[in-house]
Amino acid sequence: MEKRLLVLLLIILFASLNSMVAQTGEVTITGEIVDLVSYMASGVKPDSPQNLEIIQGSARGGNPLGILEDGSGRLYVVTMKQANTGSNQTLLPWLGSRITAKGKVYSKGSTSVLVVTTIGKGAK
Amino acid sequence: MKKLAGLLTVLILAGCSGEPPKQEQKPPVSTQPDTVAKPMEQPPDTAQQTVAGLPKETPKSTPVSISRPSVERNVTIIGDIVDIVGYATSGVVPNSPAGREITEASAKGGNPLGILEQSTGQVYIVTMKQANTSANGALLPFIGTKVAAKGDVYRKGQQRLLILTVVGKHAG
Repeated sequence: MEKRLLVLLLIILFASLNSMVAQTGEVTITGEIVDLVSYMASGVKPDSPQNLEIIQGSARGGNPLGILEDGSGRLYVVTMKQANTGSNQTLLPWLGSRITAKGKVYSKGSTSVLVVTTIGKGAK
Repeated sequence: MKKLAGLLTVLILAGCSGEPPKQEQKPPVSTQPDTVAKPMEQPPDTAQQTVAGLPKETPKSTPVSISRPSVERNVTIIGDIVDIVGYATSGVVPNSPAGREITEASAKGGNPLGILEQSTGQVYIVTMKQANTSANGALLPFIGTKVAAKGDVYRKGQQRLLILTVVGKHAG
């Protein structure tokens, strides 16, 4: 009985530790590319030619693009799997489209980072 | 055995007492950004002033409406510059020559720098008040030093954005 309780507690402990470290296996995220700055500050999404221009200007100025996940509304900072490689050049061509990105998600200190392995046009 | 079970329960409860998930806020229905397209209000060279004399804490406002981004004006954040990617994926902080090198290389490669707040452990994505200007250029010289950064803080879900007006070495 005590052994069973111990095993159960260990399972729960591992599950809770896993959620604290918050590194996932490979996940697929469907959503849209946003400029983190203009989206967080003003809610700008790439849903009009004017907004596309705003986002492109911000990204070309070096501000980070991210992915706004459908459904959850979760916002991911995005980087490439290759070390020291920003993701803006990869994400810019997908501005205004629904995308599907695959990669690993890491969360720490209130921020979530998606390390992208592949990205392509999403369904919908 | 009972003691072990009790200890594990305590550990689990401690592990589950992290920051609760926050409700996502609906972005405002607006096609006109109120910040990014504004004309420059602060000359660029003021971004690296020393702000050691800044107050440690600024009164924080509550969100005005659920349909607007949550914003706190003129907040001072004290902490370390981190490469958001290196910090989130590997816990890299620039407190050693190797950590500084990794952080600088990542930032120069185009990954965003942020500020890891000393008192809360929260990471802030940082941008400049001037439209379309990344903060990496302003933050790079401060890698490895404790900084005081002042600006407006926006939140969406768990992510936090600091629109920087001034950053400098923190003397405290």
